[in-house]
Amino acid sequence: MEDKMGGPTNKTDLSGRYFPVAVYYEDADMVEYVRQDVPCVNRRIDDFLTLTLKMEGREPIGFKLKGFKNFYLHYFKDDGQRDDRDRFLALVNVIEKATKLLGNKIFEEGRKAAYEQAYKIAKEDNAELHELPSAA
Amino acid sequence: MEMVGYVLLGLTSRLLLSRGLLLIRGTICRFRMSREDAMKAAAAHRRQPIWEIWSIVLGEPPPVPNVRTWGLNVPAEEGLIALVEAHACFRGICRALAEDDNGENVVAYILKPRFFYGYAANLVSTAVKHATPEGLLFAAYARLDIPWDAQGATVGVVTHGGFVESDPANPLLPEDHASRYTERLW
Repeated sequence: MEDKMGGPTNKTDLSGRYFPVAVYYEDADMVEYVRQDVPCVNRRIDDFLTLTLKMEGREPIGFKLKGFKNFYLHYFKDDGQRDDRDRFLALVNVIEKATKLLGNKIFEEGRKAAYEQAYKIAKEDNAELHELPSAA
Repeated sequence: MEMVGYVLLGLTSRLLLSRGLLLIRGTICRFRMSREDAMKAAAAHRRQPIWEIWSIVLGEPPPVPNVRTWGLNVPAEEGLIALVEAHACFRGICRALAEDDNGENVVAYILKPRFFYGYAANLVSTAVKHATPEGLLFAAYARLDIPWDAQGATVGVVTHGGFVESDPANPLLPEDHASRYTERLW
């Protein structure tokens, strides 16, 4: 059975291995991309973006993008359509795919952006960081 | 797996108690849990937020095998906290959320758990108890049902939660709480 959010929830296996993926949460109206399924700290940047930091070490490992449904309701909603929720949910796969690609690009390909973000955060925290890893 | 159904059904069928939702602290309110979002997290094998809701919002260890007997977790319930023990509450999250342009109908409950559970890829148990690092608080967010019905069985749905950094000047409140929320209820 497929649920309306696109997931085969009755076949969910909590023991399965986690792979980085973007997931849209409808009740929270946000899409989350996170590299690891570990305890995290949320650092709000603005009303659209929240950074996800690993609790241990505060390394950036993901982000949350907020308010997609609100954006849809303001700019794409067709008042004549009664099944508006279904129309929006049909777009969720696109949002999730785009976010996953964005996340992979930021955190996987070269990791430069992640190191730069870590440096920025360390600077905000007044931590001493004299040089970036050579990979950066 | 049957365990999945048990963990999620147990989570989403709970009615959470919270005190002081509106301006009067001490009023008992009941919330639902976000069922579909929990299902989506589980479908993606994203267990950590579910474990946090169990151990910080419901105040119980996640109901997975051996969680109460694994040496690392004993005593399994000590130091956990539940939504009803929140020490601060804000209304309005200053960001768009579906029909709510500025999140005015969202409340944020602030908790300071001593311990919580995290996911562990371990053969003994998949939930391990962690001490909460200094300087962190947990914010649990709930959308209020609109129109508001104070006499209803429930008054809203807990949508999500997460750890946030505390304000160095006031360690019991989140950093930037003045700009991050519209108003403090209590």
